[in-house]
Amino acid sequence: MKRLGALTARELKTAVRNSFFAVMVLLAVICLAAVFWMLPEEIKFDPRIYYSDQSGSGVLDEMLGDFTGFKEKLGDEQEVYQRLQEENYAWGTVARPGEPVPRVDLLFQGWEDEKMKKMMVSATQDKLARTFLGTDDTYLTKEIGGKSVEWPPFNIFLVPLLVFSEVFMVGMFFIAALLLIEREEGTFKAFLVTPGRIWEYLLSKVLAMAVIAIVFTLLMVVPTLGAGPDYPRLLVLITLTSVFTSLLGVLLASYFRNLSQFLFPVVLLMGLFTLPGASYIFPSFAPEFIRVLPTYDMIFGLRQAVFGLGEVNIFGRAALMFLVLDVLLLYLAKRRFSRQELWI
Amino acid sequence: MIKVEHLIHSYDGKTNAVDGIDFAVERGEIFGFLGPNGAGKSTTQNILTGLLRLQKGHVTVGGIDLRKPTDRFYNLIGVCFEKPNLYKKLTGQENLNYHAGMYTVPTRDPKELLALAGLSHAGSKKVEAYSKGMTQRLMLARSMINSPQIWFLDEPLSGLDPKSSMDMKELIRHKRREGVTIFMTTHNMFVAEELCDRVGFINQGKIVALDTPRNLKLEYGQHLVRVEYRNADGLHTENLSLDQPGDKQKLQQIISTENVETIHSQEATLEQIFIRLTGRGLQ
Repeated sequence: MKRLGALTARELKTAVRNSFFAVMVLLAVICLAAVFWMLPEEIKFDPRIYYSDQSGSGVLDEMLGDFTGFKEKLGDEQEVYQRLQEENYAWGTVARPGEPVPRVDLLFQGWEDEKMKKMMVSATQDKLARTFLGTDDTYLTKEIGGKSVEWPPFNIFLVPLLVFSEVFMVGMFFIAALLLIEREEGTFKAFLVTPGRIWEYLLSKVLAMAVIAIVFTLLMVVPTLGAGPDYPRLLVLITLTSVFTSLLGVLLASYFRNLSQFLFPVVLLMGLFTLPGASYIFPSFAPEFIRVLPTYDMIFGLRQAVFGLGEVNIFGRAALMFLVLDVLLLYLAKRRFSRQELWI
Repeated sequence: MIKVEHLIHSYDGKTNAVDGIDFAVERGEIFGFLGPNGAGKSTTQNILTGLLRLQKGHVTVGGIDLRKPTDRFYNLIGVCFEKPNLYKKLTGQENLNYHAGMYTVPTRDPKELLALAGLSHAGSKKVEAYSKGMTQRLMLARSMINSPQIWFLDEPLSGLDPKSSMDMKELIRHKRREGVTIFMTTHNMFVAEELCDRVGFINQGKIVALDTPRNLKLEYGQHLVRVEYRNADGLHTENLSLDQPGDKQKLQQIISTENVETIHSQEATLEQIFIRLTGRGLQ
């Protein structure tokens, strides 16, 4: 423990003197300025709807009557197809004559969540059945008096995502920079002729990064959300994220000689792992390849910890998954760093 | 204290960087390991300090088998590297404090070591502001933090000014008197000659000579003296054998009758011995 303490203290001093803390504080200030003064409080992300009713029944006008977003009625089916090919975030619907009910096609572009598609199909079938077949309402809407949570303004809603992105990206760069500086200075070689253990060396770096991540999180969350968030849960998730990104950075940096070589693959990897951010902003956009990323649960876990929104169990799932990943990465990093030719 | 038997190490599995060497270093001895770049010097030192895994052969340091170096081994050794490897953003004292925290044996007071290295005035300065000589002295101080019983020095005097160099040589001799075993790798024959009790020459992974500097010089040198004297006819130079009775008589005569300006014995330098043995220089 004494050794881990000495290593971690040294890492923190090095991080401070290499201006890592200053960079994090500056980033927090920039992000806070964006949250308070640049990002809007409200934003609409409804897709544009194009439709054409060839059935003569007026069914689509009736179905879309409550829709408050952009919608446009077009002359024929071909025009609907054309618009959907020209625009990115839209969907279409076409009604044709049919007996006893008109045939209604829903046209998707591929970005839509499967659940959302199924819901729209069911709603359409239900509407057609009730309008043309006279089916009685077979469902009830009922308030069950669950825990009600108010949806935050858009700019505040983005805070967990900003915290996650900065901790993930900057953490990976910082630790890689620390390691590559140490490789250049040869200091790891000096460590290897002491009784110090490799896992202690790695863990000290990870702990120092976690401290920086926690400070950054508090700098971002306290001014924007005050006492609202579940801080213990938030900090647990941020620490696990920071450990994950640090160990990933450690592993990757061991394959490169300098920061410029390290940049390209890391940017790709970071792009991949931060993709769930798109689902955070557009919840209906959650294709399978994004949901399988471990960071998907983590981002929504952070949202749950900060706002209480969404699935309650997601905290446990995200924390457990990252704990397992962190242990695995620590094992891999320790193995990788045991290869002496890396440093001699 | 150090025992090396049939040590072999290969980086590529085809050629041996160290090719079956044997030697032993006694407690309280200064052993110089000399050889040109790529001869196997650093590989041997890296194995002896636990930086490289032992592949073949048998090595014990302080009685510890290096197939499985233990904490006791790392507590027993101190290593001063040739290339500076300090944390430049930390001060001299912080570097020593940090390093002291790595050991499980009592360590020396960093301030005392800074004073010993002549760096008391610079202990609170960041290492990035140190001169080459100051950095080297701090490296030496760091390698003593755990009071090592076996001290590995890689070019310990490089970059030092004459005064610091003299102080460091005295420190090394003082450590030997305390019973510390010193394993020194160097290119510098004068340092080796001055400090080492024995030297080993390594070339292409093999030890080609191992003895005291004096014995090597006598064995490989010429038993001659070179005398320069001046008389009315000008400056004269004579090379006279110390074994031939006629030459010995002539030497006595020159000393007693002529104005002798210089006399030099003609034993070989370590560099000349190395070149004779290997056909290449030490650099």
